[in-house]
Amino acid sequence: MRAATRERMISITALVPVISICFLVPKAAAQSDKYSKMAPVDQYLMERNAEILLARSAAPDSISSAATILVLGRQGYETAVRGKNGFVCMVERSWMAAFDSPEFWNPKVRGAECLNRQAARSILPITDLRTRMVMAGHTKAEIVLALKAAFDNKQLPDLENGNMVYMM
Amino acid sequence: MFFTALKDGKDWGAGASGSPVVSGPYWFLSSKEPSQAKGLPPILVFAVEVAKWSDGTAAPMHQE
Repeated sequence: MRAATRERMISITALVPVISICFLVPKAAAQSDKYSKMAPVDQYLMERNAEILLARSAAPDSISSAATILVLGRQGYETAVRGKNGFVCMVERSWMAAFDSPEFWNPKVRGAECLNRQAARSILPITDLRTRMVMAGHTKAEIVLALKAAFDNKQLPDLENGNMVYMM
Repeated sequence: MFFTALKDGKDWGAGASGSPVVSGPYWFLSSKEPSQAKGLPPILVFAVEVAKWSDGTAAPMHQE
């Protein structure tokens, strides 16, 4: 994994918008229109094995080795490896940032993470819906409306207690 | 990282001097237009910085 240091740096950079930690957002980026629209889809995709490896790197081997692994396809996330321990590892893209983040469409963002069972039940469905809509070409405004409707219609679950995500 | 329904990161000491805990909103960074988030459940994300990556190598820590 040490050879993946560069990937990890990309990952930590990615973590910034993905988890919406305000104080880490660079001021220069916040003032930029560099990523004002979605880039060509190919720029968000990764080679499948590299994506699996990066996804697993989000947690210690004792957790990620038995986790389900998701990879991004052209319609959304797909199961690449079916796990046994309830954890789900994946590489988030920029559109999981806050909707008003200047990095929302940054195609370089890669945020490796492993969700525990509770997060997989309550956070992953949000990720899945957002991602499917992005890959289908919807705008941010359309995605927000769809999320609101999905919560209103109980198609998205309430936040569970005990949810947590490894990003290390 | 922890996803919570809390409203204030101070409840976990997020952002306090010397604290490894940080927090941020999930849906929108800006609070200028709270109506944007109307209809979405409040989610506040907490992250706890760790000194090592999963493979044991040193991780960069946030400097105040």
